Amino acid sequence: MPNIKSTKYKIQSTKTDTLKSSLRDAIIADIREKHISPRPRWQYILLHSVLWGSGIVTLFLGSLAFSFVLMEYSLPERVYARWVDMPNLGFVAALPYLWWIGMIFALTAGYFIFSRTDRGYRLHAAWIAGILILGSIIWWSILYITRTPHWGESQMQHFQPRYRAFRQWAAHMVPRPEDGILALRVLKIDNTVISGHAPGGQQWSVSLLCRDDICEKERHRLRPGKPTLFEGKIISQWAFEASRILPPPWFWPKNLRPMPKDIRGNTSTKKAE
Amino acid sequence: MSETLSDAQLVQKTLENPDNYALIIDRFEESILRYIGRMTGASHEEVEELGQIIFIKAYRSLNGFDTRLKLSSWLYRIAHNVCVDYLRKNARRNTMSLDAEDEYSKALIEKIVTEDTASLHLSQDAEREAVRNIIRLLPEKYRTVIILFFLEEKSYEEISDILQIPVNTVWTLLNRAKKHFLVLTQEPQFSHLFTYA
Repeated sequence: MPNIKSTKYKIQSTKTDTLKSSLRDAIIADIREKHISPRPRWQYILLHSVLWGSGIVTLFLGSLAFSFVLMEYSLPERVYARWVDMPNLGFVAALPYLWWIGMIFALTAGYFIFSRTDRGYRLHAAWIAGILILGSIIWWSILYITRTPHWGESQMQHFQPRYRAFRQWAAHMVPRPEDGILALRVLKIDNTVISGHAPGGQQWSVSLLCRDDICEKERHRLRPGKPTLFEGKIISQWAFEASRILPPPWFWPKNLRPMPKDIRGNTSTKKAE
Repeated sequence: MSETLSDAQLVQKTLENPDNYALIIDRFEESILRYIGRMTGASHEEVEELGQIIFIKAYRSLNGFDTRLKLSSWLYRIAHNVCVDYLRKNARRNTMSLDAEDEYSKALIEKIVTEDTASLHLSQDAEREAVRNIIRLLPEKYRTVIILFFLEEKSYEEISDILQIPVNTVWTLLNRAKKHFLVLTQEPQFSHLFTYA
């Protein structure tokens, strides 16, 4: 077999030397005549720092966004509120989804940046993605544990009247017992009798008469402090007979109505104004 | 003298005095021009022009040279980017010059085939045209790794540095390129030129 190494190809082999010298001279002459000089080193250091800095910032922002997503989904209002059809407050309705988009954008940007940093290209895409996701998980855990999004949310309520109004509105959007759904934050569980606070602050007592195993399972999962939806009917003032525990409405809670004004008076609506 | 200097020393000397850039040009000019020719299939004049562009670009970026890389890999990377730009602008991806590479044609075929256990023989007359056409038909990414690995004799790590892709991806691309190459040898227009044993 012919050995590639033994036979070196030379471009324009008959005039290689001429070409070599002419090209070399042309380049050197070009550099001299046009006063071409290497870009200063500080530009590369700056570029490098910006690249790393923006990578870390996007990672941080992505993690913050995800911790906001977690917070948004874990807020009690999440159970009661329907985050749609809000006049002039549409942007807030989309907030958790914007955070999602922000997180995905940050992760993509982070991947793009880190794969071009130093010799990041040598790492497999899955490795970079894995490192980013792991880094993000650690970041957002820290942020969530330190309640950074909660603080951010309270700041938003403080400085953004529209956001504050939304929060108030969300707190007032409740399923109405008259419609057969009672929303309660569970206070006490006594076998089949559950007491709890409705979003308006009234204390209700619920008799849970399960008709199937699913309901029984859900009953065993009840914990004090858990926001829960009961399906049934009103039997007397502040007393409700439930036949079913509804699953948490993770996405779009149905059958919600604005809280009646007389009940709403108990909550602090002044802030919203 | 330039042979005794390391890459970092060469760069340092050039930064101190632009005339020393001639040392870098002398050391890498031949291989870079050859690579441009193989990648673009451009005329000798165009190759020379592209070579000039590449070396000027490299000179302007000298301060950004990562000393952990080989200078040749870094120059090939710049050359590759310039070639890709050139191909895009000129839509000449299907032109491939192997005029002066007769001695490589058979070696290339045999290298590819040897690594793939099949045995393939090519008649002397047919080899030049066939190899040229087959490589011309390869997609750009496969053509690039074939040229870098078999013709430029770069290692996986060097190709990874040049193309800025993971080493595993280089390996995958090369395998696919070889398979692609062998599949093409079985195309009706080429199959009569090859004998499989």
